[in-house]
Amino acid sequence: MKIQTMKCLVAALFVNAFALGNAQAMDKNYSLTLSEPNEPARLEVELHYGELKVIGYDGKTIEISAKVTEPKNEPNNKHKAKIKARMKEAMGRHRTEPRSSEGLKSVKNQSVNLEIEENNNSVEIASMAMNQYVQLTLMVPYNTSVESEVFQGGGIEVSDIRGELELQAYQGGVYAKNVSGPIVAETQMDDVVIELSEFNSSTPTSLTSHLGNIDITIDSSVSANINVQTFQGEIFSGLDTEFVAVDQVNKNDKKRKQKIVLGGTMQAKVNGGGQDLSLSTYMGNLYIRKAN
Amino acid sequence: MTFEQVIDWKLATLTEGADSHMTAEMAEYVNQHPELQQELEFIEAFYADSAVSNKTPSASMDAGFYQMLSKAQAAVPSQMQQLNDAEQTNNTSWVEALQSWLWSPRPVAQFAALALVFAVGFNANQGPQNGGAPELASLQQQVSSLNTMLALNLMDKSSASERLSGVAYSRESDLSDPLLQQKLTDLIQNDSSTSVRLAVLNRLSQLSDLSPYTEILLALTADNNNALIQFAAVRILLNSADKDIQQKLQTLAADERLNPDIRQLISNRNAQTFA
Repeated sequence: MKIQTMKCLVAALFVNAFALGNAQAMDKNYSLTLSEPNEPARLEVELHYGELKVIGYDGKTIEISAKVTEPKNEPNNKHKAKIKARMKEAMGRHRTEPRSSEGLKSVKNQSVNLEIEENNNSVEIASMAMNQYVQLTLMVPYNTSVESEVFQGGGIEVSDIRGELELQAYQGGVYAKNVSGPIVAETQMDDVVIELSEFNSSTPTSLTSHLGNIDITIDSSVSANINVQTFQGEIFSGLDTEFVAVDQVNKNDKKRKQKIVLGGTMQAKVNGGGQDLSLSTYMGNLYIRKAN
Repeated sequence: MTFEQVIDWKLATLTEGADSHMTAEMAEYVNQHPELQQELEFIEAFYADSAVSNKTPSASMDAGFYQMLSKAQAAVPSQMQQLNDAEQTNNTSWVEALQSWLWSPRPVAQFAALALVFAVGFNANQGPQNGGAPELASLQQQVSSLNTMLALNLMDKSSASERLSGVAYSRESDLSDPLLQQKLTDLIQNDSSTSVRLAVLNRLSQLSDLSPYTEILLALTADNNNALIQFAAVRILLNSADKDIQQKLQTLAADERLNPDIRQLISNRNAQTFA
């Protein structure tokens, strides 16, 4: 088996001497050749502060574009903004007071610090910097599987991907369109919005948001068991199939004990049912739409 | 007396508990046909492999499978030889060759054995009211064990979607299996994906006996870091009729540091119970 390991550090690029304070951006592009260009790739992205966009295309390389800029995605409602401000305040409490900078001039960080590693079509991209907002745009072959985590800043946008998706954003949202899954997505504060072009029934799909809404659009031909639960929000459905409460009657092997739970979860067996598609949120609403 | 009659009698003794004593006529017939004797031994061995001990179903099932496989592999060359012989005999038609192959004792016995497996498997799916025989329980145990192996394997995968599949497979498994209990416990406490943790909690909500998981569920209820997990855990506990669990929930609800929504939920349920 051909194994090729490539590791590079793209750093300290003094392309233009401009400052972040001027709201201008500096960027770096890199084209990554895969060890096995005709085989599906697996991409793992970890971004500590920034936002991620992954776009599928008809190519065999991974095109990386990293831009350091000012944050642009702010929480989309007052409630979330309040939570974010509280978190910032809580984190700020542990910082010491700044010392005098009199007579010194400010030196802005002008490097894009990004680590890229490829090993036998498994690609890892990480930006660990906490003090620079990185807008990372990746163009990948259609059938790439994507696993990504964005800790602070914005969210994750994915489009035109046929591979498996595992997406986690802590402050921003997760937005995916023209994808087939399976998808496991999770957000803390913002929404999960998914437009499925097809539904991969090989393994379950599950979307979770703690404070945000979940909005999913599926094709009318999709067969699935759609399970929904929201603890404080509402459920809105545009499907023809009704959601019904699932009653559970369980007996142990010796038939001496039984447990009956009426209406624990809500489920719709769309087009006769199929693989599980689960939507769970604590405070947000659930929106299930049928594609036109 | 024919091969089929003897094989039918053998299957009846194994599946229906019919008289296991061979008649003198049958014994003489079998003695005259060593190939039939082999087939009877094969069916007996096949049946014995199915009735493995409940204590170690996985290992026995593995052993049984490989034993069966080696026998099947050994059978193939002899069948091929028969076919070749039929082809080489120019004075026999293809219909005769086919009949010879079709009615030779080994395929008949194998077909009968496969039919037996199918019938037992079909009955196993008809629910416990039709079962009851020890061999059926053993087969159900094996299926459950196979699901457990598959579930454990999938739950170890790095992909969250595959771990979700593993949890789904555990629906068909016996949750008293210690390895499975340990894995599920590990997932609800440590998995990086809330989706996976919720799926495990959903699985546990179907249990009639929560005792192996009670302390973990109480700990998850007390942990304010993930409200979705907290709610799912407390809902399972609130549905339990165990007085000790309800008492512990009351103690938790008295703690002002607990998520107010959870405290409210416990209080509401308490009020309903005593209303």
